Amino acid sequence: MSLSQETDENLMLRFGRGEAAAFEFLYQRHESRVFRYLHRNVRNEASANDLMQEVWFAVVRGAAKYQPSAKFTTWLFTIAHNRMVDMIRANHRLQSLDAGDDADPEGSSLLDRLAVDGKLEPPAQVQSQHEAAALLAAVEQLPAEQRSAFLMQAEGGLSVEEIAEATGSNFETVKSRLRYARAKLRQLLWEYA
Amino acid sequence: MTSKDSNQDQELLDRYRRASETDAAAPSDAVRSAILAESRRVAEQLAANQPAPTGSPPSFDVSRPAANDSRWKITAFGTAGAALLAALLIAPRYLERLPTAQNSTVPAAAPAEESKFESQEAAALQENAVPPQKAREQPLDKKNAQPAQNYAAAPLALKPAPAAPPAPTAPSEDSAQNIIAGYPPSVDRAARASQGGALSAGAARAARERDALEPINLQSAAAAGDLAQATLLVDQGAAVDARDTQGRTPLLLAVAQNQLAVVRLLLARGADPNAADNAGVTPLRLAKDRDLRDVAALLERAGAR
Repeated sequence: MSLSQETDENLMLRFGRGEAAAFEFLYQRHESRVFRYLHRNVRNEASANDLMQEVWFAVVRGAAKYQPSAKFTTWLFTIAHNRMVDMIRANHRLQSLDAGDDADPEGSSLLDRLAVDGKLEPPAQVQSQHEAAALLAAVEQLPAEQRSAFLMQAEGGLSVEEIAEATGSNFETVKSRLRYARAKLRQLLWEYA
Repeated sequence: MTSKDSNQDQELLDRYRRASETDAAAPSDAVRSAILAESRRVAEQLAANQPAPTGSPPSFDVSRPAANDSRWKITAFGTAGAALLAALLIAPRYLERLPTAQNSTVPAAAPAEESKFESQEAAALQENAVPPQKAREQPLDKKNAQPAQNYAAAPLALKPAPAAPPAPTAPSEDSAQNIIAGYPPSVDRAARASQGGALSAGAARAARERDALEPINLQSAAAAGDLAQATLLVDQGAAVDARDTQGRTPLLLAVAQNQLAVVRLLLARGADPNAADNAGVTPLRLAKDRDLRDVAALLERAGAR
């Protein structure tokens, strides 16, 4: 079977046996989605690039021990989420990612407040009549944990269960975050459409 | 969640994905290069750490013979076994050609069966009492039966032989010729029998088996005209005047078969030119009776009377 037809999991296994080409296929397949997930979460290109490198280095160095017990994308976005949280913590912009996790299903935790502090006003491009730009701008206006959950679903194709696993949250919390995120996006799109 | 909500959620996701595809956001080339370079470096390490494929046998490391001890043993013993088997198969072919011993004085394993066969042939010939040619054509005629010597045809019968039992069957042309020829080596007999001679298939097979087991002595070599074998036997010390049970010397048998070269060899090696058999037949008498002028002249030059 050619590399282009291999599943993500098989590509990782082949890379674990020393096939560099398998990893290149895998990277090309997920590069954009991972980067968009990171970029729209941290909203900083430099930080997104740093995170991108950290995430994929972690994937590469974990290949020897990789076991396809779960979807590769779940593992990939778990790494991405954790690296992102680590970066935020390292920048002293996070006191507790999970603070108020269960208490506030909307995700208005300290992370949310710190991460989006001062950036809640609609960006200039949101004013655009262009639907795509408006939608992307709307996503960036979501609270951090709602945004992260939504981007995992939209970019990574992860299910609610997989998002819960990747973020270390319970199923119902993730489900609520997604519900609130969609509701806010519809509202923002309606407002700026 | 209603189906309407589900459809709206899916529509929202689709709209987002279409919008996201228009986003040109991408990692920098430096990051991309760093990631791919790291992946190649790790891939080399992973490939180097891979165990050898289980399906293929490990390579044969000739630089470490001790590590391959079992395979060395298989190779060595296998070769030795094959050589031994080949030797066992080939050796008997050479052994049977070697001279048996220097006991040419003893007749070459004349088994009772052959003695009986010879006596029967002699008896049949005695009853024929016709010239050799006629004997071959007319196997048995009791009215014309004459005594005969073993190696002499009727014309050579110098004196009557002892009474012999009548032959149970008429001898064929071949067996009669053998008798007239004076007991040629059985080497020829088996061959002739196989070519349609008087011997039955069983007798021919028995003759072949006997010939295969019969050691070669000076008598048989002389009668067969095997100069090389006769020379070898004489060189090894075989008695040139060895006699068989009928008193026949190698010289007599060589004369009977007109083996001039062997006669010359035997005379040169000191064979008695006047040694007669039990019936009193001398080599010179035999040669003259068979009109073997060259042989007779040679014998006379050697002092034969």
